[in-house]
Amino acid sequence: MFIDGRKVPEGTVIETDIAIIGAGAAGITIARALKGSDASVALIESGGLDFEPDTQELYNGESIGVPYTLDTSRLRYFGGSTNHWGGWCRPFEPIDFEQRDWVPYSGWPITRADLDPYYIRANDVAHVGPFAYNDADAWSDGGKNKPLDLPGGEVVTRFFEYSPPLRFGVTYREEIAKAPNVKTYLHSNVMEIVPTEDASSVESLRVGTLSGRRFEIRPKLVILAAGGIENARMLLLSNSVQKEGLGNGRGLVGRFFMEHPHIDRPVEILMTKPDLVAPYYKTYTKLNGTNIRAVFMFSDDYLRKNRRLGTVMTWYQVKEIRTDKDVEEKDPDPARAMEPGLLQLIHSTTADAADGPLLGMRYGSGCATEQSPNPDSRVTLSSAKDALGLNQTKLDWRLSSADRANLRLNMEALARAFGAWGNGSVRILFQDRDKWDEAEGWGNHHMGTTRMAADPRKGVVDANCKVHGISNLYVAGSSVFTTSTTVNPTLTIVALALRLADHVQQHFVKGV
Amino acid sequence: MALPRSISRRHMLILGGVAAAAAALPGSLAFIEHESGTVADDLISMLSDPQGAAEIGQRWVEAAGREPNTQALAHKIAKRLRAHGWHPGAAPEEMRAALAARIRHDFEHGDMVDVSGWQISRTSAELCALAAANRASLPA
Ligand SMILES: Cc1cc2nc3c(=O)[nH]c(=O)nc-3n(C[C@H](O)[C@H](O)[C@H](O)COP(=O)(O)OP(=O)(O)OC[C@H]3O[C@@H](n4cnc5c(N)ncnc54)[C@H](O)[C@@H]3O)c2cc1C
Repeated sequence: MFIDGRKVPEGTVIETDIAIIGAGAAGITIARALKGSDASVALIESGGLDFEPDTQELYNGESIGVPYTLDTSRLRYFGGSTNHWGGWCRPFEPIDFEQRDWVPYSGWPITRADLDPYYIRANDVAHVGPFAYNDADAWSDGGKNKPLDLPGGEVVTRFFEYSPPLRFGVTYREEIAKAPNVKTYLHSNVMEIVPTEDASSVESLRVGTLSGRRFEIRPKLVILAAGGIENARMLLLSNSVQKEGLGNGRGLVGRFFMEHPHIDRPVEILMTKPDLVAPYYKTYTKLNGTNIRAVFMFSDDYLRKNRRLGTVMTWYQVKEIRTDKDVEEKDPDPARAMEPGLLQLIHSTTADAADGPLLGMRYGSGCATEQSPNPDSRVTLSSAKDALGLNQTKLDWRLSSADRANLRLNMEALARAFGAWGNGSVRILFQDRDKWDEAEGWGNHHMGTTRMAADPRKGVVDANCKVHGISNLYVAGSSVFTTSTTVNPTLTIVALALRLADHVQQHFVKGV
Repeated sequence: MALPRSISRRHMLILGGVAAAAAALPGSLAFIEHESGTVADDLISMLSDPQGAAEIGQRWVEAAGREPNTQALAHKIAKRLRAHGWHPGAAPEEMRAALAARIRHDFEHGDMVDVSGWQISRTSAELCALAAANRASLPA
């Protein structure tokens, strides 16, 4: 059932077993998983069923670090940011969960194996195809497509699979509306999570609408699923009892904010044999009913041996390089003008001789890279207020010169692999610098602000996503990620949400 | 056995005067001079686009502030190729195989140089520099 919060009588107190704050990828997944259970569920969503500018403005905030736009990088209505996500899906690697001694603050309290069964279910939830992210045979199209055989074992071909992209708020709207135990409150903003006097558990949620209505929800268990930045803001705003914010006794809430810096054209690649490049590398390719794309990533062995963070690279075909090109057509960029000579050099040495005017192909690239967790990269509260009178977000996103150097070194590994292969050459455009204070782009992936750690001194939530020290408050979403890893977050958000729903079913619902 | 064209030309040069000067040098150095000179031509003859390679080589030596020296470069490359089974007088295909192996070896060991962003194996860069040093005599 959908209920418009603006029509709930002022001062109403609503009792429920479970309250979920936020109806995005995480909140909707958990509500669906709890559908039909013995527990009553209140799904509380700030927006309505469509975009509304005044609700969206609640996402405005300040950015004081690496310049970042807070309002356009998420959406505030039923379905959340899945109303405009791109659908790129890939699970995290086992190494991502490990404590890597060269990555400070790394090490999740769970392993990839803990998520494996949930990843398979998450694929279904997001309407992604078969779980074949590392299986080149699954995408070979009857043996026609082969991954490039780059030697050295440092650079590996991996696959992304695409969700349509599924609009969670559209696809699952009816199911949620019909779920007998789920009541969805729209246009309803949680303004504070109010704990008991000793802050050991949550007592109630203070809810307000932009029309000025105020009411209260009294849940037995709360799941905060308001998005990677808003989860931290919500805990910091919940400060009527714990002055520094709920669950923030150790000052960790909001810290360790991570994104995936995106770089356009970190490298260009020349290849002598364009026919070796399977179509799935160059663009989204539909195979067996699933849209996929092949990317380059870096092997666990390489990351371990060289003490590196991961990077994922896409690439695309740009231009044929030929001998029968007019001189006037030659590129004025001196590095580009070298291309025919360079390809001829490769043909003369490590590759087969060119057997016509086509010397090879130039490919462009893009990449997203892992950033190391940094406690100074953080979300705090701004002194500016939103329309509900709540402090806006202040984001201080930090990137480090070490993150930058790491990316440059990964590009050098790519150059080594292509060179040793003998059929290509890599031009590195991404320069090393002693600062990284401006990101060309990012993924709209907001991670780390309520990080997961077994030890309450090191994280905000435990391995079950329960806030340390608070008996009935859980967090869902990418804010619980301990490290940013390399790939897009939503498949993992959904997998963690399914796992959390199972935990709640087993440890709470059965006792209701 | 017919000698490759480049070796014959080098022999002509030696017979025409270089040999007389070399006679004044210690025996081993004379051999190096001779070998390097021959190898330089043989190496350049591997290139399907020597002018294009020379442009790359020129760019590299200019950026590095070096003076390309035919003898030194040829000697350096020859020394590396020996480690991959090549020997003076070997057939061109053997030189090409050794060159390919060496370039791959460079990349495998991260021995690359940066030429306007392009990551080139050191041996390839030296081969290009060799072409640059001999630009005047390269086929167009
Ligand atoms: C342009 C764009 C493209 C993207 N592409 C990809 C992609 O290709 N692959 C990928 O993996 N990820 C992608 N993402 C990221 C992806 O959208 C998010 O990871 C995902 O939606 C996060 O899910 P969530 O449930 O944690 O948060 P959200 O989906 O943001 O949902 C949070 C919900 O909480 C509600 N809410 C917030 N505050 C309150 C409050 N106080 N009270 C009540 N409700 C509240 C919001 O209205 C919203 O509905 C993209 C994001 C953007 C912006």
